[in-house]
Amino acid sequence: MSLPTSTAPTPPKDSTTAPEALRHRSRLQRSRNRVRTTALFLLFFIGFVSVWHITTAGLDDGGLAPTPAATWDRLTEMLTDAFMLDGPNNVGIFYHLVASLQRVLLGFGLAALVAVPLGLLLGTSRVINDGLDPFIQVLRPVSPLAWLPLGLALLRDSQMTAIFVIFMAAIWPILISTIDGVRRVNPLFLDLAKSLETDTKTRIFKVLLPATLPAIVIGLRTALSTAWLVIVAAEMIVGGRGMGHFVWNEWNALNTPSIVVAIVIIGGVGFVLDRSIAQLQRLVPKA
Amino acid sequence: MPDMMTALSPTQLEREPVMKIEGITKGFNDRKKGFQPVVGTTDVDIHEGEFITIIGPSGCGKSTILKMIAGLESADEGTIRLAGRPIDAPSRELGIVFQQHVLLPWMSARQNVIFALETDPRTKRSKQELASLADEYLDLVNLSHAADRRPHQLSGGMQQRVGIARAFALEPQVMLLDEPLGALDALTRHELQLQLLDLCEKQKRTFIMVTHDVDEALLLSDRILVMGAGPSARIVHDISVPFSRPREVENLDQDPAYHELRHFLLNSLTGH
Repeated sequence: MSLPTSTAPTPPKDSTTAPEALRHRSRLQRSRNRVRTTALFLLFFIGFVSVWHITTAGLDDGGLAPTPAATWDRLTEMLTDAFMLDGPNNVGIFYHLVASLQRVLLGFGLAALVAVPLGLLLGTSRVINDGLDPFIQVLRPVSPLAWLPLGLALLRDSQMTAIFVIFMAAIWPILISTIDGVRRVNPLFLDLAKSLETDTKTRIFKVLLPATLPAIVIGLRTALSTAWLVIVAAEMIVGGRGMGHFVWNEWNALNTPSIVVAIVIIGGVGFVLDRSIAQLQRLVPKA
Repeated sequence: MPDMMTALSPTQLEREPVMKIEGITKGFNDRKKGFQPVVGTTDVDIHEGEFITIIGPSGCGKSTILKMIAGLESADEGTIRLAGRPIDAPSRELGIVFQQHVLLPWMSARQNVIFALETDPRTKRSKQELASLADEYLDLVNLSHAADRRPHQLSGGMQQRVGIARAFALEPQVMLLDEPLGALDALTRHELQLQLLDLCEKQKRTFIMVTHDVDEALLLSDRILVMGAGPSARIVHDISVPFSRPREVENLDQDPAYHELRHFLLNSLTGH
């Protein structure tokens, strides 16, 4: 797009044909590329399933290795029974998924509620930050699962403990990213706010927060994927409903095709979660 | 101090200066030698309606002086008084135009001007009042057609014009311009110099501008303060610019006095 730089307002009404032709050409190029990538994907997929079939089918291991055919059967079975509610211990995959999502979203949401304001504070105040930094640096590299026994001991509730573990997993990326974001805010924005004699509330909500938003969204995105990684492992231990519990249960029943299906579902849902939170980036202003 | 050509009108001399700079200094403390001044001024009185330019070689500390005047940095010695009161913090009475555009990128040009207006704690205006006032100031810099654009959709010159409109909108007692055209290409720069000239002749305000462009200084100012080279840079000349207003580039170019002054300024900047 050409912007009028002169003082005379001349909107580019009659956009010439040359850029239009160029745009048409690049559109054509893009759709051609799309056809190629789709073909390549199908090729890889067929190759992958073939190798999978060759290495697992006819293996004399008592049917432990999941074959593509067995996995496909299990997948259709699990999907038809997805909403089954047959007693407390026999529920469809949907309810496991919902249980996991619930824990992740609760723990992640609580972490965001704590980490964003704390990050804004620590990013603004060097003194408070330097005082708290040793805690952050030592606690951050600890696997969130290490908190699990402590959670069980103190909270005495497996559900709460799982949420607590997710909280501990999600808080660090948000906190670190927010602090970093505040530090990167153009210092002239703050000079401007000062010279306008704005009050603290305006300075935080109208200048600091919007300017830090890109970094916060990056932190939220990292935190949510970390939380989704951790929940499966946490649920293997705390039990109840949930994808992790489901996977562990199926392992105990030596039902490996179910585990493959669960892996695909976990991956797919993780992908959708990441994409949804990435939508927040649309709110983020262009610099 | 040579060349003290004071050309103030009688009415200006009678009135109290709007701003008094009383020998400000900024420096650092050396463990052995004690306080070492880096940049400073003598006493300078600035009268209402004056366009003052501080010019000096790069790195001499012109921008630091402007920051001290703006209240964004404190002076180690001396005081700056605005209408009698010492400046110790940034204030809406000092409208700043920064070297790079400081427009909030998540707001349109109009919203950026509105932001400056609505944060005024003294006057509460309705949404409509704010919008029409903002449009008025954008119109002043010929940007009505771009009011709804975000900063990234504006050219460098347009961004700077929005900044100028915002500073005007504050109706400050003194406008502070920190190399406002320094980051622009030569063509846009010239265009904006003419627009700024037009603006300050139409809207009689008090300006303090920092620049290293001699032609810009001569075109716009009533008075030029020339800084010497560092370390410990000070104002070495206080020159009145005698050309009558309204000014035209063509007329100036034919005036031998213009070339004489230009020559003198260039020489004092290069240290000859």
